[in-house]
Amino acid sequence: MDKPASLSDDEYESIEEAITRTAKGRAFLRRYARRMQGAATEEVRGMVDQIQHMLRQQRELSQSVGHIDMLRRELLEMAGSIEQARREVAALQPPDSDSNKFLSATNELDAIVSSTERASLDILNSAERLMDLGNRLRASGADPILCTDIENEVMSIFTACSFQDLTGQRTSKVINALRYIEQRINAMIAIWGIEGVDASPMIGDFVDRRPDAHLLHGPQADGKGVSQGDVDAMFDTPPAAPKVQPPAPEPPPVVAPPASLEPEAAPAHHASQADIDSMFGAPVPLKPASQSDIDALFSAPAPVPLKPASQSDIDALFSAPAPAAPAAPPKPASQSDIDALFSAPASAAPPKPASQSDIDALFASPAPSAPSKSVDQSDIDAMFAAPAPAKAASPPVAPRPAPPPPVARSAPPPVAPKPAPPPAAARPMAPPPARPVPAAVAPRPVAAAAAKPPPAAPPAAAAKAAPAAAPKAALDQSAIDALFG
Amino acid sequence: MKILVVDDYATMRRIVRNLLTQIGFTDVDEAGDGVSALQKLREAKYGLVISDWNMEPMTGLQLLKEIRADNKLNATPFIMVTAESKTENVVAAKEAGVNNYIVKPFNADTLKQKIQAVLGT
Repeated sequence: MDKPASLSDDEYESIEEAITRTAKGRAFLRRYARRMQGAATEEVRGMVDQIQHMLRQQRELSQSVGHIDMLRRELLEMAGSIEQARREVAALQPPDSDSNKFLSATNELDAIVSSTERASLDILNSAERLMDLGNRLRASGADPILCTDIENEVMSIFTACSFQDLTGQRTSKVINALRYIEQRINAMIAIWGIEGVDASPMIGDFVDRRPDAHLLHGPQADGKGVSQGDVDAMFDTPPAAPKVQPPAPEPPPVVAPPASLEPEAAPAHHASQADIDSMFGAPVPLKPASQSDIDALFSAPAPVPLKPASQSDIDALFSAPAPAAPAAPPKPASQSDIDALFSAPASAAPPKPASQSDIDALFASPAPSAPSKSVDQSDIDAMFAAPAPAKAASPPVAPRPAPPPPVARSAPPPVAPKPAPPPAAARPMAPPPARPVPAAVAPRPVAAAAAKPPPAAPPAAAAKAAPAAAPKAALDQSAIDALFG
Repeated sequence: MKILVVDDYATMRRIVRNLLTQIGFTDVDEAGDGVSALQKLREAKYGLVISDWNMEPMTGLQLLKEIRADNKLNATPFIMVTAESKTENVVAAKEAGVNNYIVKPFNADTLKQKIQAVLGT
């Protein structure tokens, strides 16, 4: 290819002069100059764009470096959080099962259920004995009003005892929730592999700093702690001091054997009184000590006080009424007066008995059968009247409002002070005449019912039917009454 | 009249029995679950069943449905006494044919009134 021919200045000027001689030539030169300027401008603009692009890239790069630093910090924080969580989980799952907090919590709850059940049974036994005594009193001709009061109180005890039912159900729900959480924790442990993770307490963890915190374990489950017999055995252990055989006592002190709650745990070896005395640093008596001497050693209440206080003195200390009162049986008249004042049954009614609403208005008594929420008198009426109309104040439930009953039922039969013998077979389906029911003896809010799942088998409780799992008070009795018309 | 009290919690059965005795019903029998209750119902005649809901293996609702499906038992009055107080529970029990429904906790008055309402006394 040929090289482009070079052009000298003179040649250039001569060519330019030749072109500018004509108008077309000058126009050509102007147009040519404009084109050349545009090309240069475009070239400069492209270069500027490139520079801007490079600057942008540079800026983005520096920003990315900042983002990476931030990301690194975030990752470090996440790693720290995960490590803390692993330690928390490891702390929940200690190597020895005795300090497993979940197991311990569920066992404690089981123990609560068991102990409340035992208490309920004891109370029920006593209440049944009281009821029997009331029946015997009635049969022996005692004041029927008094007998009725006793029976009403016993019935209140019965219904109050049913608290254990609900308590047991709720406790079982808590136990199941704990077990669920424990399962999830175990799953996390399996995923993370907690072995070897330091489970020591971290900053912010609650630490009991009481000096004897390591001794505070709370009540122990059956078989875990020591029995009273074990404790007695620890105190009965012969000390290091030499045994001294006291001379044969003239009258051998008759010491009743201690009523041990767990006699099977009693120690095989029984220390003598001298052994016990020597443990407590008492000098060995030269002559046989009497029981009063032993009592004095242990600061037992003196059998004969120097100045015995009379019952009236004690009563005066407590601003109690006259001491003769407890021995005197309550007079029927005064009892009926008290009953009348505090919503006694109708049987004990004075000549002008106040209505229930009057009494309620006086005492602003809460609803008897809806302890979970306060209800007004109409709610109470709805509960006590057979067909309870649905009212706006009731919970807005009643998805299927029951049709009103065809015939309004009459009010419950009046309470008789003493029940007549039940009719033999006058009406097969009719219940025998009821004993006086605490119509006015304000039925206390009943704790009620039924500790469902036995504490020993909570998983079974979890397997119960779904609707049975939640004793949630969504409806009160009056709303249910409205449903049933 | 013989009443059958069904509850898996013996203390609760004892409480209901005592309350029934106090309000005049002395002929009271007990069952610890729906299965044994159904067996008792088929062996003897009962004028009323007072049953808990949450029991195993047969719940009170299942017992109620079994009773209502049995031609010999379907006229037996049935009162549910339970801590289940959600609307859906009451509706389900009513649809199954329960005669009345008592929410725990309850008292003797409530129990007596529901019995009277169910028996029409």
